[in-house]
Amino acid sequence: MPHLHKLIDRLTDLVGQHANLRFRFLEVCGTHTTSVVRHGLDTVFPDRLELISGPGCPVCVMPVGYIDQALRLAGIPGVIMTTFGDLMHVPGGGHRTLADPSAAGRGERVRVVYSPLDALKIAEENPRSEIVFLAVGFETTAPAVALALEKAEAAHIDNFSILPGHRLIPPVLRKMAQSGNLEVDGFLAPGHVSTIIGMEPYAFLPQEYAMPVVIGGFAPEEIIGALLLLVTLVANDHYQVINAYPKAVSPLGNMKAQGLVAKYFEPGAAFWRGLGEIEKSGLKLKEQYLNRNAAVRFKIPFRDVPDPAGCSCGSVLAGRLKPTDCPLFGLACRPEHPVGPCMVSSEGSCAAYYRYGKGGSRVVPDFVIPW
Amino acid sequence: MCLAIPGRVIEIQTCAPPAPQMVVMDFLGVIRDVSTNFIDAVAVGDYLLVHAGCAIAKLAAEPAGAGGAEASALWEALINHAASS
Repeated sequence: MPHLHKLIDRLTDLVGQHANLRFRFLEVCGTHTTSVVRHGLDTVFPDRLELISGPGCPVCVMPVGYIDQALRLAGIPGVIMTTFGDLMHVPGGGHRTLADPSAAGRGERVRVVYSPLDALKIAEENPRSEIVFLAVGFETTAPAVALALEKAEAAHIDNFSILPGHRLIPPVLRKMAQSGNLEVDGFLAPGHVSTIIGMEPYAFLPQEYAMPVVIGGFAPEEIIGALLLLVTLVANDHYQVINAYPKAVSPLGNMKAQGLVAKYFEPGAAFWRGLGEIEKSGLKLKEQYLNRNAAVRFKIPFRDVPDPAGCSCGSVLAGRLKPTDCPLFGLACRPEHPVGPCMVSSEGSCAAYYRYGKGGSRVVPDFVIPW
Repeated sequence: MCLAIPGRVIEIQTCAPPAPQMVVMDFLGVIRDVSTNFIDAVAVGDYLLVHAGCAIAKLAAEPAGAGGAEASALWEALINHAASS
């Protein structure tokens, strides 16, 4: 589209005007990573502009110990495990996965669902079974899980529980900004997380760490436009949060969704693959809803387990290593035989780089934004 | 996994709260029930952004491809804001 090409030209011109500056940005969201490589946008980036993948794939950031908990729960007789498809092939300790027929043991039942509300429906239809939903996802996904809990409470569907695994984006960005060894000049913030949380939760990045933040959409034009804004902010020493995805993000976010999440969950410390335990970076069920926590209900506590030998997912998620620089990439670790989750999930940066190659099709496609 | 898909509301289903308020939506030919508990005042014809079976935002209903001039103006405004503020 002419529009996209104009934005690319402007981006190239602007970077060219600042020959003494480097523009290195962290793209926080796995959907951004996938869109950039799928559309080959990285091949048209000007020199001195670089995008680094961050911890934006919710399946990838779950520690091995969470997968092991899920495997142990799936093995309990009478339990039907329900999960988003991305989790099915993530290896736990001992390389077992939920898709492995032997992994589910005597439980033997693992079902892929599109929505936690579909998992709740399975609970209604199978009153003699215990239905456990693997509640992973960032702020975007937590409202749907809270809604399933709301309906389960109202209709007294007591055979429905979740394994809480939600993670929160602003606390992990704070941890990365604090670490001091993350050499980035700004953040491309995730569009659909921001649909829920709005703009304010990012304000600490410009205020405390002099890092500009631009909330971006996912079409090629929206990504290039967001990068043009980030370069403009850095070049002018302006540190602020800009919403470049106003069609889906309002300044305060979706307050109804925030309200329902806050009814069932509260922030708590959580483990992230590659980044360790981060304060208030996960959602835990409130005290009065602990019976909905499958780990409590079935007495399967979380245990921290080391990452698979040789796997660099942790470094990739922390923005320290590019997928293609991992020694296992494309050799011992491929989508059909993944060693770590970044090669499994459709949003994992290793899977995206493997599927599309660096540069994807190497052609910027004609693209019409439908809305 | 934060992928969200836009679609059009084609039918409102009555469903008493606190059960999910459901609508039927058309995603370029794929028809699916969607919960609209997090959206105010949904009408047939609205475009919603949907994630994991729940609508998370209402989109401006512009026909495909017609947003060129407006999109261009939006980028100009944002770039001017970034450069001058």
